Amino acid sequence: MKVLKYTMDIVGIMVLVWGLMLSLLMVVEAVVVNLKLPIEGTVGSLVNNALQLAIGGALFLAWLLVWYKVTVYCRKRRLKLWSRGSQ
Amino acid sequence: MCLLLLGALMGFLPYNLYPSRVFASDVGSLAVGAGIGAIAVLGRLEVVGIVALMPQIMNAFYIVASVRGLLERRQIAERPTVVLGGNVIAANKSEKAPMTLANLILSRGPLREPDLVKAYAMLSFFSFVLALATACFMVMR
Repeated sequence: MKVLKYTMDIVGIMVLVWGLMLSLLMVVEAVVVNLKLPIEGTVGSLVNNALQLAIGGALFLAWLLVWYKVTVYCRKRRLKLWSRGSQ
Repeated sequence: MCLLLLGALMGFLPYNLYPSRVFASDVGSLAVGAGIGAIAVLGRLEVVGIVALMPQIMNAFYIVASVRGLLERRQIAERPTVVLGGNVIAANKSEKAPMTLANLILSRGPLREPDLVKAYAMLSFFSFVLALATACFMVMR
Protein backbone atom coordinates (compact mmCIF):
# COMPACT_ATOMS: atom_id res chain seq x y z
CA MET A 1 0.00 0.00 0.00
CA LYS A 2 2.88 2.36 0.78
CA VAL A 3 4.29 1.85 -2.72
CA LEU A 4 0.86 2.54 -4.22
CA LYS A 5 0.71 5.86 -2.32
CA TYR A 6 4.12 6.78 -3.75
CA THR A 7 3.18 5.98 -7.36
CA MET A 8 -0.44 7.20 -7.72
CA ASP A 9 0.53 10.78 -8.71
CA ILE A 10 3.00 9.45 -11.28
CA VAL A 11 0.38 7.09 -12.71
CA GLY A 12 -1.86 10.16 -13.03
CA ILE A 13 0.88 11.96 -14.98
CA MET A 14 1.31 8.87 -17.19
CA VAL A 15 -2.42 8.71 -17.96
CA LEU A 16 -2.54 12.46 -18.69
CA VAL A 17 0.52 12.30 -20.99
CA TRP A 18 -0.88 9.20 -22.73
CA GLY A 19 -4.30 10.79 -23.27
CA LEU A 20 -2.76 14.01 -24.57
CA MET A 21 -0.47 12.04 -26.90
CA LEU A 22 -3.36 10.09 -28.42
CA SER A 23 -5.50 13.25 -28.76
CA LEU A 24 -2.59 15.04 -30.41
CA LEU A 25 -1.99 12.18 -32.86
CA MET A 26 -5.69 12.22 -33.76
CA VAL A 27 -5.66 16.00 -34.29
CA VAL A 28 -2.54 15.72 -36.49
CA GLU A 29 -4.13 12.88 -38.49
CA ALA A 30 -7.49 14.62 -38.92
CA VAL A 31 -6.50 18.28 -39.32
CA VAL A 32 -2.79 18.88 -39.92
CA VAL A 33 -2.25 16.14 -42.53
CA ASN A 34 -5.35 17.25 -44.50
CA LEU A 35 -4.35 20.92 -44.43
CA LYS A 36 -4.31 22.33 -47.98
CA LEU A 37 -3.39 25.93 -48.80
CA PRO A 38 -4.92 27.47 -51.96
CA ILE A 39 -1.49 27.97 -53.57
CA GLU A 40 -0.57 25.97 -56.68
CA GLY A 41 2.83 24.76 -57.89
CA THR A 42 6.10 23.81 -56.22
CA VAL A 43 6.13 26.89 -53.98
CA GLY A 44 2.61 26.12 -52.80
CA SER A 45 3.54 22.54 -52.00
CA LEU A 46 6.67 23.70 -50.16
CA VAL A 47 4.75 26.28 -48.10
CA ASN A 48 2.02 23.74 -47.37
CA ASN A 49 4.50 21.13 -46.13
CA ALA A 50 6.42 23.73 -44.09
CA LEU A 51 3.16 24.87 -42.46
CA GLN A 52 2.20 21.28 -41.62
CA LEU A 53 5.64 20.70 -40.11
CA ALA A 54 5.46 23.93 -38.09
CA ILE A 55 1.97 23.18 -36.72
CA GLY A 56 2.94 19.57 -35.91
CA GLY A 57 6.17 20.72 -34.24
CA ALA A 58 4.37 23.41 -32.22
CA LEU A 59 1.80 20.87 -30.99
CA PHE A 60 4.60 18.45 -30.06
CA LEU A 61 6.50 21.15 -28.13
CA ALA A 62 3.29 22.22 -26.35
CA TRP A 63 2.73 18.59 -25.34
CA LEU A 64 6.28 18.32 -23.94
CA LEU A 65 5.89 21.64 -22.09
CA VAL A 66 2.59 20.57 -20.47
CA TRP A 67 4.20 17.25 -19.46
CA TYR A 68 7.22 18.98 -17.89
CA LYS A 69 5.20 21.68 -16.08
CA VAL A 70 2.77 19.12 -14.62
CA THR A 71 5.70 17.00 -13.40
CA VAL A 72 7.53 19.96 -11.82
CA TYR A 73 4.30 21.03 -10.05
CA CYS A 74 3.68 17.46 -8.87
CA ARG A 75 7.27 17.11 -7.56
CA LYS A 76 7.06 20.38 -5.62
CA ARG A 77 3.73 19.33 -4.07
CA ARG A 78 5.16 15.92 -3.11
CA LEU A 79 8.27 17.51 -1.57
CA LYS A 80 5.99 19.79 0.51
CA LEU A 81 3.97 16.77 1.69
CA TRP A 82 7.21 15.00 2.61
CA SER A 83 8.44 18.03 4.59
CA ARG A 84 5.09 18.32 6.39
CA GLY A 85 5.11 14.61 7.16
CA SER A 86 8.62 14.64 8.61
CA GLN A 87 7.91 17.60 10.96
CA MET B 1 12.03 -12.31 -31.68
CA CYS B 2 9.81 -11.58 -28.64
CA LEU B 3 10.33 -15.12 -27.35
CA LEU B 4 14.11 -14.85 -27.82
CA LEU B 5 14.21 -11.61 -25.83
CA LEU B 6 11.84 -12.99 -23.18
CA GLY B 7 13.94 -16.16 -22.79
CA ALA B 8 17.17 -14.18 -22.39
CA LEU B 9 15.56 -11.86 -19.81
CA MET B 10 13.99 -14.74 -17.85
CA GLY B 11 17.42 -16.40 -17.69
CA PHE B 12 18.90 -13.16 -16.37
CA LEU B 13 16.11 -12.44 -13.84
CA PRO B 14 17.23 -14.81 -10.99
CA TYR B 15 20.65 -13.11 -10.94
CA ASN B 16 19.18 -9.59 -11.13
CA LEU B 17 16.46 -9.97 -8.47
CA TYR B 18 17.06 -8.07 -5.22
CA PRO B 19 19.75 -8.36 -3.84
CA SER B 20 21.30 -8.36 -7.33
CA ARG B 21 24.43 -10.39 -8.06
CA VAL B 22 24.69 -9.33 -11.72
CA PHE B 23 23.83 -5.91 -13.19
CA ALA B 24 22.76 -5.36 -16.79
CA SER B 25 24.37 -1.89 -16.95
CA ASP B 26 24.37 0.10 -20.23
CA VAL B 27 25.33 -2.91 -22.36
CA GLY B 28 22.29 -4.89 -21.20
CA SER B 29 19.75 -2.06 -21.04
CA LEU B 30 20.69 -0.58 -24.43
CA ALA B 31 20.54 -4.04 -26.05
CA VAL B 32 17.11 -4.74 -24.52
CA GLY B 33 15.89 -1.28 -25.58
CA ALA B 34 17.15 -1.86 -29.13
CA GLY B 35 15.41 -5.27 -29.16
CA ILE B 36 12.09 -3.79 -28.00
CA GLY B 37 12.46 -0.96 -30.54
CA ALA B 38 13.11 -3.43 -33.36
CA ILE B 39 10.07 -5.51 -32.33
CA ALA B 40 7.91 -2.36 -32.32
CA VAL B 41 9.11 -1.26 -35.78
CA LEU B 42 8.92 -4.73 -37.39
CA GLY B 43 5.47 -5.34 -35.85
CA ARG B 44 4.24 -1.87 -36.89
CA LEU B 45 3.53 -1.11 -33.24
CA GLU B 46 5.57 2.07 -32.83
CA VAL B 47 2.99 4.01 -30.77
CA VAL B 48 2.27 0.95 -28.61
CA GLY B 49 6.04 0.52 -28.10
CA ILE B 50 6.40 4.14 -27.01
CA VAL B 51 3.56 3.72 -24.49
CA ALA B 52 5.01 0.41 -23.23
CA LEU B 53 8.38 2.09 -22.60
CA MET B 54 6.82 5.13 -20.92
CA PRO B 55 8.68 4.90 -17.55
CA GLN B 56 12.05 4.76 -19.37
CA ILE B 57 11.05 7.57 -21.76
CA MET B 58 9.79 9.66 -18.81
CA ASN B 59 13.11 9.14 -17.03
CA ALA B 60 15.15 10.22 -20.08
CA PHE B 61 12.88 13.22 -20.77
CA TYR B 62 13.04 14.45 -17.16
CA ILE B 63 16.86 14.28 -17.12
CA VAL B 64 17.25 16.11 -20.46
CA ALA B 65 14.63 18.73 -19.51
CA SER B 66 15.95 19.38 -15.98
CA VAL B 67 19.68 19.62 -16.87
CA ARG B 68 18.84 21.47 -20.12
CA GLY B 69 20.59 19.16 -22.58
CA LEU B 70 22.48 15.90 -23.00
CA LEU B 71 25.18 15.99 -20.33
CA GLU B 72 27.59 13.32 -19.14
CA ARG B 73 27.30 12.08 -15.57
CA ARG B 74 30.45 13.93 -14.42
CA GLN B 75 29.09 17.21 -15.85
CA ILE B 76 26.09 17.07 -13.49
CA ALA B 77 27.10 18.47 -10.09
CA GLU B 78 24.44 16.78 -7.93
CA ARG B 79 23.06 13.24 -7.81
CA PRO B 80 19.27 12.75 -8.10
CA THR B 81 19.09 10.52 -5.01
CA VAL B 82 20.85 10.26 -1.64
CA VAL B 83 21.59 6.98 0.15
CA LEU B 84 20.69 7.45 3.83
CA GLY B 85 22.07 4.13 5.05
CA GLY B 86 20.25 1.02 6.16
CA ASN B 87 19.19 0.43 2.55
CA VAL B 88 17.05 3.61 2.54
CA ILE B 89 17.17 6.00 -0.43
CA ALA B 90 15.83 9.58 -0.49
CA ALA B 91 15.34 12.18 -3.19
CA ASN B 92 17.88 14.97 -3.44
CA LYS B 93 15.84 18.13 -2.72
CA SER B 94 18.41 20.46 -4.31
CA GLU B 95 17.27 22.55 -7.29
CA LYS B 96 20.52 21.58 -9.05
CA ALA B 97 19.79 17.86 -8.79
CA PRO B 98 18.52 16.34 -12.03
CA MET B 99 14.90 15.23 -11.98
CA THR B 100 14.74 11.50 -12.65
CA LEU B 101 11.94 8.98 -12.21
CA ALA B 102 13.60 7.72 -9.00
CA ASN B 103 13.84 11.31 -7.73
CA LEU B 104 10.16 11.84 -8.55
CA ILE B 105 9.05 8.63 -6.80
CA LEU B 106 11.16 9.47 -3.74
CA SER B 107 9.95 13.10 -3.61
CA ARG B 108 7.08 11.77 -1.43
CA GLY B 109 9.63 10.52 1.14
CA PRO B 110 12.49 8.04 1.56
CA LEU B 111 11.96 4.40 0.60
CA ARG B 112 13.83 1.14 1.10
CA GLU B 113 15.51 -0.11 -2.08
CA PRO B 114 13.14 -3.11 -2.56
CA ASP B 115 10.15 -0.75 -2.26
CA LEU B 116 11.65 1.57 -4.88
CA VAL B 117 12.04 -1.43 -7.20
CA LYS B 118 8.38 -2.33 -6.51
CA ALA B 119 7.35 1.24 -7.40
CA TYR B 120 9.24 0.95 -10.72
CA ALA B 121 7.60 -2.42 -11.37
CA MET B 122 4.18 -0.93 -10.63
CA LEU B 123 4.77 1.93 -13.09
CA SER B 124 5.95 -0.60 -15.71
CA PHE B 125 2.76 -2.59 -15.14
CA PHE B 126 0.61 0.52 -15.62
CA SER B 127 2.46 1.37 -18.84
CA PHE B 128 1.79 -2.22 -20.00
CA VAL B 129 -1.95 -1.71 -19.32
CA LEU B 130 -1.86 1.62 -21.23
CA ALA B 131 0.00 -0.07 -24.12
CA LEU B 132 -2.69 -2.77 -24.28
CA ALA B 133 -5.39 -0.07 -24.26
CA THR B 134 -3.54 1.75 -27.07
CA ALA B 135 -3.31 -1.46 -29.14
CA CYS B 136 -7.07 -2.10 -28.65
CA PHE B 137 -7.84 1.53 -29.56
CA MET B 138 -5.77 1.28 -32.75
CA VAL B 139 -7.43 -2.01 -33.77
CA MET B 140 -10.93 -0.55 -33.17
CA ARG B 141 -10.16 2.46 -35.38
